[in-house]
Amino acid sequence: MSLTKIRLQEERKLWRKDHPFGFFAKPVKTADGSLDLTTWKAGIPGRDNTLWAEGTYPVTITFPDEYPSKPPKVKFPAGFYHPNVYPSGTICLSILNEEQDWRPAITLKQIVLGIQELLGNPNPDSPAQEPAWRAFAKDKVTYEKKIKEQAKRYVNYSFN
Amino acid sequence: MDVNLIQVQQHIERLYSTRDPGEIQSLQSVLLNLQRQDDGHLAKSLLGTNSKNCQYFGALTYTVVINNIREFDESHLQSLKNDLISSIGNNTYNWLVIKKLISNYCLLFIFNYKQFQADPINSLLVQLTVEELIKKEQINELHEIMFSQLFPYVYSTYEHLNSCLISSIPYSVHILGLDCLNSWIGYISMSETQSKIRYTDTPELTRYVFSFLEGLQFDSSESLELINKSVSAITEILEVNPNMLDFNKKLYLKSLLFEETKFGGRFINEIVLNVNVNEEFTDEISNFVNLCIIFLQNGLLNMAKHLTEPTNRFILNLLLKLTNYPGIPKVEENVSDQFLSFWEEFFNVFIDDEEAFDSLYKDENTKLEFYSTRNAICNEVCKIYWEKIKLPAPEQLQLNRSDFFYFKSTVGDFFSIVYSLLKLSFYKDLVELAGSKFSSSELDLNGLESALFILHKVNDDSTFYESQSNLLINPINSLMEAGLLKILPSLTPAIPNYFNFVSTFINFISSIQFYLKTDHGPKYLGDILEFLFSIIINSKDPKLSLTSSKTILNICQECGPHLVVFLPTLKNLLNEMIQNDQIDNLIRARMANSYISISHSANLKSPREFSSVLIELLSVIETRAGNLMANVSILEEHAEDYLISLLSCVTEIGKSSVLPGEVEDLYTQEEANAVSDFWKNDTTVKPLILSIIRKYSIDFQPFSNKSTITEICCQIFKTGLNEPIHNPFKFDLPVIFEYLALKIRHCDANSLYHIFKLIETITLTNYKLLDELTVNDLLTNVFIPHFKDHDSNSDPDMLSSSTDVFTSMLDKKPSLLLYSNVNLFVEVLHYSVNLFKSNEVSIIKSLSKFWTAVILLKRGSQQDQELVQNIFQQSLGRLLLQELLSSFLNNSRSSLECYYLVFRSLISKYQLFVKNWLMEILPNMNWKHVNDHDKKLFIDKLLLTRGQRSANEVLKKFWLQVNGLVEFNSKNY
Repeated sequence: MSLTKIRLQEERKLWRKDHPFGFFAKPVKTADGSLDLTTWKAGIPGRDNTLWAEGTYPVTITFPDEYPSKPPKVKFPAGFYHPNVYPSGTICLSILNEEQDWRPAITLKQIVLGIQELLGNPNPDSPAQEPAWRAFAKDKVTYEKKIKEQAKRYVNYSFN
Repeated sequence: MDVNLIQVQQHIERLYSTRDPGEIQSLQSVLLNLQRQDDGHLAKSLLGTNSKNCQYFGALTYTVVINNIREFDESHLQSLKNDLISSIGNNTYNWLVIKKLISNYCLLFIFNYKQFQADPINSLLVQLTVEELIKKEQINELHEIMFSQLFPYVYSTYEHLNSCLISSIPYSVHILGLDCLNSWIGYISMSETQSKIRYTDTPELTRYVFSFLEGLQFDSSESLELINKSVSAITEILEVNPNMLDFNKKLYLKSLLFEETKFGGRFINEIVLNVNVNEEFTDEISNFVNLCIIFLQNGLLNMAKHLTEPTNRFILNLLLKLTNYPGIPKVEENVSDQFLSFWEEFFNVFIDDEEAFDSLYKDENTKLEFYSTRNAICNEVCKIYWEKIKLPAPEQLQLNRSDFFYFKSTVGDFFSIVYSLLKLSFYKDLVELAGSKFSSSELDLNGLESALFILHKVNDDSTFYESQSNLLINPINSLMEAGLLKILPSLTPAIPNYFNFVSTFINFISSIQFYLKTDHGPKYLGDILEFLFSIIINSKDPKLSLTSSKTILNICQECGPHLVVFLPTLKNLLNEMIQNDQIDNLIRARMANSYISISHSANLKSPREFSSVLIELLSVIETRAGNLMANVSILEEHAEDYLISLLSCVTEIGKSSVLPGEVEDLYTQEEANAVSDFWKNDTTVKPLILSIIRKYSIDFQPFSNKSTITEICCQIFKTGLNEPIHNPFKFDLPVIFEYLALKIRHCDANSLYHIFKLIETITLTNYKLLDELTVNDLLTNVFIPHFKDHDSNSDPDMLSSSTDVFTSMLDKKPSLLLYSNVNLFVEVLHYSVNLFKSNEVSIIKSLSKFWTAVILLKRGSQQDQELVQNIFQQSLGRLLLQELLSSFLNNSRSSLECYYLVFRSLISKYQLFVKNWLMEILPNMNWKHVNDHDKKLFIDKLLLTRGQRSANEVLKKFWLQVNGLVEFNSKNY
C-alpha cells in the first residue's frame, strides 16, 4: 500500500475517532461502490453567532498522489462567495499551500477547522475573488447581506 | 529587596476580595513585579504571616522565584531547600499551601538535580516530581537520574504495598498510590520517548493496579473509587504505554474484564445494568466502558478473524448488551455513543481487509458460518442503534438537543459503513423495516422517522454513480408501492417533534431523486410536490421552508418532463409568490427556476409555447416591479430587497432556459435549426427582458447607481452567452454593447467592475463573433473615458477588471486589440505601464497576466508579433522594465510571486534589449545596500537564466539585498 493510502486510512480513523461538532467528512464512493480515499466530501458548519451560522458549507477535498508531502486541494462549489475563495471554488489558505504553511503533520481536522476560521475571518491580504474581497474591504453592508443570502442556500437541518 | 510587607499584605488581601476587574489587573501587575524581583525572602516573609491568603501567595512566590532563577548557587540552593522543608513541616498551613510548597521543592530538584544528594523523598513527592517533569522538556541525564534514583524507591514502595492486604492499608494511602502510579505511567511513556531509558520490568506496578479489580467488592463508595482509579490507570497503560503489559498480562486482563464471574462480568451485572444504582455511577461506568473498548481495539483484527470462537461470541454478546444500555442517548446515557466508534472500527476491519477475509477460510461451511455470524452481529448492532435514534419526547429532547442530533447523524454515517459491508440485502432489510412501520394497523411514526433518516443517509452516500443508484430503485419502489406517501396526511403540526419528522421526510425525498426520475416516479410526484408546497406555504420554520424549496427545485430540474401536469399549480403558487413581498427571496427565486425548468423541458421542441410561458411570467414580474417603482417615493430596505428579488427571478428564468443537455442529444439537426431560428427572430421575449433590465438599471433612479442591480443585469446577459444555439436569453452582441454604452453613462464606479466582467465573458465565449470595429467602439465608448478619469490610485477593482478584459482579448484574439485602433492600443499600453505605480495585489496580478499576454502573444500572427516588437523597441520596453522593476523592488515580500512571470517573459523575448535597458535604468536607481558591482552582478545573473524559472531566485535575492533583508527558509522547521 502506498504511503498516501496508509496516511489517508489513518486520517479516516482519526476523523472517526475525533472530529469537531457539526462537521462531516468522508471519502466518496466509486462507481463500483468501493471507497475512493483520495476524494472526500466534507461539510463545514458556520460558527455560532456569526453570519455564517445557519449553513453547513460543502467542500470537496482532493488528495494528490504526493500527499502528505503535498497538501490536499480543498474546493467549495464554484462561485462560492468569500474573499479568499477563487471563482472556481478553490480555497486560498496558507496551510493548504505547499510554498507557505503546509506541513505533512497537518490533519484533516486541522484543515477543516482552519477553513471554518477563515469563513468568519477572511484574510484581506490574499484576495482570491474580486466581488467578495471588494465588498469585504469597502462595503460591509453588502458583504454581510451576501453572506447571509449564501448561508440560506446551505441551510442545514441535521443538527437542530 | 526592600519592600513594605504590610503594604504587600494589603495588596494580596485586596486581590482576593475585590471584584473589580480593573483593580485586579492592576494589583496582579504590582504583585507579579514584586515576585519577579524576589530571591525567596518575600516568599518566606509571606509564609510567616497569619493570613491564609498571604501564606498561599508566599508559596506561589517561591514558584516564581524558582522558575525565574532556575539554577541556584550552592548556598542559595541550600537556604531555599531548608526554608521549603521547614515550611512543609509547618502544621499550621492548609493543604493547598503544603501541596504548592512540595511542588516547589520538586521544581527546585528538577532545575538543580546535579546538586541534590539522595533525599528522603516520600511517594507523594515522587508523584509531584513526575507531574512537574511531564510539563517540561527534559534532558536525558535527568531521565537517567529519575530511573536510577527515584524509580527504585517508587518500585519498592509498590512492592511493599503489594505484600500487604488491601484492607490493611488506609484508603487514603491507596488513593495516593493510584494517583502516583497514574502520573508515573504518563511519565514513563514520555521518558522512553525522550531518552534511551526503558522501564522494561514493572510487574509490581501492574500487580498493584490489578489487585483492586481482583480483590474488591462493589459494596462501598470507597471501593468503587479505588476500582475507578485502577480502571483509569489500566486505560492509561493501554493508551500510552501498552508495553507495560506482556502477553500473559493482557490475557489475564481479558479474563478479568470479560469473564462472567470475574471483575468485568460482576461489574456489568451489579453496576452497569443494575437500574437501581447505575445512575449514581455514570463516571465509573463510562471509565469501565472506555477500558473495554480500548482493550479490544488493540486486537480488533484478531477478534474479527476469530469471530465464531465461543470466547469472542461471548464478548461480543456482552458488548451488544452494553451498547443497548437503557436510556436516551446523550440525554440519559453515553454508553451507546461510546460504543459507536468501536463498532465503526470493528466493521471497518471487514471492509478494509475484505479480500483477506475471503481467502481466510478454505472450507465453504466455515466461511458461511463466519459470514453469517458477522452479518448477524451487524444486524444486531444496527437494530440497537435504529432504536436509539428514535426521537424522544420533545421535553426530553430539549435537555440535550444538539448532542442528540449529532449522535443521530453519526449513527447515520455508521449505517452507511454497514451498507458498504452488507450491501443490497441490508438495504432491503432497512426498506422492509421502514415499510413495517406504516403498513400495519398502527402507524409508528417514530420508527418510520428513524428508518427514513437512515435510508436518506445511505442514499446520499451511495447514489452518486448511476451504477450504484440503479441497485436501489427496486427497494425504494417497493417502499413507495407499499404506500409510504399515505402517511403524509398524518403529518400535522400537532404531532410531537413535527419539524424533525418533516425535515427527515424532506431529506429522504431529496435523496431519492434517482428513483423519482425513472418511470416509477411520476405517479408519486403529485403527492410529494403538494406536500412540499404546503410546507413552504404553511411552515412556521424558515429553515424547513428553505429545505423544502431546495428539494422542489432539485425535483423540477431532474424530473421536468414528468411534472407538466403540475404546471398550473406551480404557476398559481409562483404568481402568488411574486405578488407577496413576505415570501423569502431565495424561495421565490427557486420557484421561478422550478417553474421554468418544467416548462422548458416540456416545450423543448415547441419554442412558441415556451415563449408564451416566458412572456406571461416576465410580464407579471415587469408589471409588479413597475407598479412598485411607480408608487415608491422612498425605497425602504425591505421594499428594495423585494424589488431586487424580482429581478433575481429573471436571472433564475435565464438559468432554467438553457438547454438541459447537449444539442445533439436533445434535437435532430432540423429541430435544432428550427428552435434556434425561432429565438433568433424572437421579437417578444427578448424585448421584454431588455425592458425589465432597462427599467431597473437605467430608468428607475434609486437603482441606476446601484452596483447590485448592474451585477444582476450583467448576470442575466451572461445566462445565454454560452448557449450553442439561440435561446430567449442569448442576445446579439451589439444589443448588449448598446446597453453597456448606455449603462456606462448611468452608473457608479462599483458597477464598472460588473460591466468589464461581462465584456470579459463575452470575449472569452464569443470572441469569434467580435471584430475590430466593435472593439474600437467599446474602447472609445467604455474604456477610454474611464482611463482618463482614473489613475493608479483609483478603484483597484475597476482597474484590474478592465485590464482583465484586455488580457482576455490578447489571449483569445490579439488582433481585436491590436488593430481596432493602433493609437488606442498604444494608449492602453502606456496606461497599463503607469498602473505599476499601484501597490494593490489585485492590480499587480491582473497587470502581470496582461503584460505576459502582450509580450508572448501566444495566439498572435507574425504581423502581430512585429507590431508589438516595434512598439517595445521604440520606447515602451524600457519604460515597462523601469516601472516593473521599481514596483517589484518597492512591493512587499508576499507580492513578489506576481511579478516573476512578466520579468521572465521579457527576458526570454527581448534578452539583449533587457540587458541594455537594465544598464540604463539601474545606475539611476540607488539603494543603501547595493553598489554598482552588485547591480552588474544582478544583470549578469538575471540574463544568464534566459527567462527560465531560476530567474525567480535571482530576482528574489536582489529584492532582499535592496531591502536590506536576509533570506529565511520556510522549510527549516
